[in-house]
Amino acid sequence: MSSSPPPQPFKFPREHSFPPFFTPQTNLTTHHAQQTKWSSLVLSYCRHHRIFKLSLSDSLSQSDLFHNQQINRRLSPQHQRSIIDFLRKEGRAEYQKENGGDLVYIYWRTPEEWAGIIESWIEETAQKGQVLTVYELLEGENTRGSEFYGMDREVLIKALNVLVKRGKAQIFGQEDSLGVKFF
Amino acid sequence: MSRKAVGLAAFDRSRLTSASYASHGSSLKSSNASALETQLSVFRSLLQQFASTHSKDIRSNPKFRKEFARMCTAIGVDPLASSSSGGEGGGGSIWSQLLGRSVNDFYFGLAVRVVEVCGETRGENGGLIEVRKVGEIINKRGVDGGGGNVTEDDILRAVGTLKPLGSGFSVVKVGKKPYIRSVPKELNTDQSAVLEAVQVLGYVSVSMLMVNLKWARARAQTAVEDLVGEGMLWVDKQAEEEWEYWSPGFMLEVVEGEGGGE
Amino acid sequence: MGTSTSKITPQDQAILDLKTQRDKLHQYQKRIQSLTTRETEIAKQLLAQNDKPRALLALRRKKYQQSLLAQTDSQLEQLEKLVSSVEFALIQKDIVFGLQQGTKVLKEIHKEMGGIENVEKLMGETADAIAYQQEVSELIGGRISTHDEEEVEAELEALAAEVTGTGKTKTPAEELPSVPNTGFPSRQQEPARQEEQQAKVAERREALLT
Repeated sequence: MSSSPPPQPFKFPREHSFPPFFTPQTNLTTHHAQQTKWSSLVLSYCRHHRIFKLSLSDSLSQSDLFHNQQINRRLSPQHQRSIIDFLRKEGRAEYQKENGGDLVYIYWRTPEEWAGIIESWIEETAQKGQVLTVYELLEGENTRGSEFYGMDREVLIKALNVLVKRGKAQIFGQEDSLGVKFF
Repeated sequence: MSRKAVGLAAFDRSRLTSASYASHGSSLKSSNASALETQLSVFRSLLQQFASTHSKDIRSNPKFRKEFARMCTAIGVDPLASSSSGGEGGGGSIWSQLLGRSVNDFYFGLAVRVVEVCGETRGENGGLIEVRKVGEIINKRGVDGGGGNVTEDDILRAVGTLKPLGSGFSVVKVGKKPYIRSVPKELNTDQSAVLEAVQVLGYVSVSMLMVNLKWARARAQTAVEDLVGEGMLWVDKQAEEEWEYWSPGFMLEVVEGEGGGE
Repeated sequence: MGTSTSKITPQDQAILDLKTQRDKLHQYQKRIQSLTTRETEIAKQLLAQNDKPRALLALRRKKYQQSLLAQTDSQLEQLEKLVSSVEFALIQKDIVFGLQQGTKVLKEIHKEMGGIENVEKLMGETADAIAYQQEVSELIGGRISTHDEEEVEAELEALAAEVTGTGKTKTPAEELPSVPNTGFPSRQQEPARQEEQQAKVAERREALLT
């Protein structure tokens, strides 16, 4: 359904084949170092595959991110949650629903960063004062090749809302046919 | 002329001769000393000349650097020893005096990078890192001043320059390999033995220690747990039989194709 | 800060509606395209199973869908045209509005100038005033006597001489009596301040010598 997978496989860092990496370490400093490595790994993995939303249970059982088959090590659900929490504290993840749930937004670009990208795209293509549909931003011929082409709709709307707050855009229309006007 | 001197005058004469011997002796001594001094100063100036004409090589060529350092130590000059302990006035190490700082700066600069690497990796290795790994990381990032890689020898020397700062950086031997320890913690012999075993085997478990070192379970357990507590080992609880303990140095392996055993 | 209560005009809403229609057509096309490729696949499979009539049916369906696709294409084109002409009309509207404003301002300025007659009258008056002024200066010019004129010219000459540096210039050194003029012939043309300092130095030196 989503965009086609990139041609190159993701190159895992060395710690991903380090067996203890999949066991939460007991020493606090070590644990912190471990969490830092995990969160940067999750971010770069999602960036590589353009994953915007992660299903915790699915990714645990299916993806090669939390499960290294070669060394037969996988992350426990609790450990996975703690890594997501670590990311959340850095503003790099957000549960889709308040307090928990299975779906998590992974912000390898935060909505603020996306907002900046969209804003400069609007600027470059001289579309201030124009009305664009959300669909057009995501799949239009005009945005093909831009970084947000084919991105997650919900994350896009979050980014647009950032622009709304800054007074740079206004969202209007029906839920299924949202439009934005840029200022 | 074997004339026995008698009488009071004899005393006088013998005093005179002994005095003249003494003066002659001291003049000899001083002439020797001054000769030595000139020799030393000639040697110094030669060394200086050599160092300044080859300072580029010393900086960029690790082999050359090593040979130069060896030459210095062979003639009893510790090139990096701070003069404050050596008594020689003037400040700065002999290399800094001789070379107008450039070589000295090389080691101080390197020391800073070593400290950086130790600091960055302290979280994951508890402040104990193999010298070779430090070298790999530094070489991968590139040394400023261009050309040539740093050798383990250079790093050891650089760590030596940190000693006067009382910074708590020291070199310890675990097994046959030198490590840099950046937290002031003493390893007891059991811990060193465990680390050495990890070096050889890749990882250890309590029963492996019991078999290989003929330790009681409690002893092996304590040693391993202490090391985990210090952050020097990582525990893997998903191993099939029992918990395994790994060296975090594994994650730092920069070599592309499995570098592995040595 | 919710400063913008709503900057959305009815036109914006209309454009959005148009664009939404266009998006829907776009999606429809995508759907049909995937359908047609599937029909081809089905036809192939049926052929492989030797079910000719049903393969033919699939191909017919495909044909029909392709005709739909062509239709939507032209519709899409029309919509796109409409969108862009609406957008262009909006710009034109802005331009007309701008022109209107400009004309209005221009008119107001003209009004403030009080019409052509007023300007003509004003110009006449200006000409009168200039003529009068000329008359006055001629009168004054005539009054100045030849004697005065000579004096004025002499002053001009003196000024000119001072500027060019020739003729009898008053050296600043003369103002400092203790310095012999002849001692520093070359320095005379230097700026006064430097001259002054040098003079002082010379003065001191002389005092020491004597």
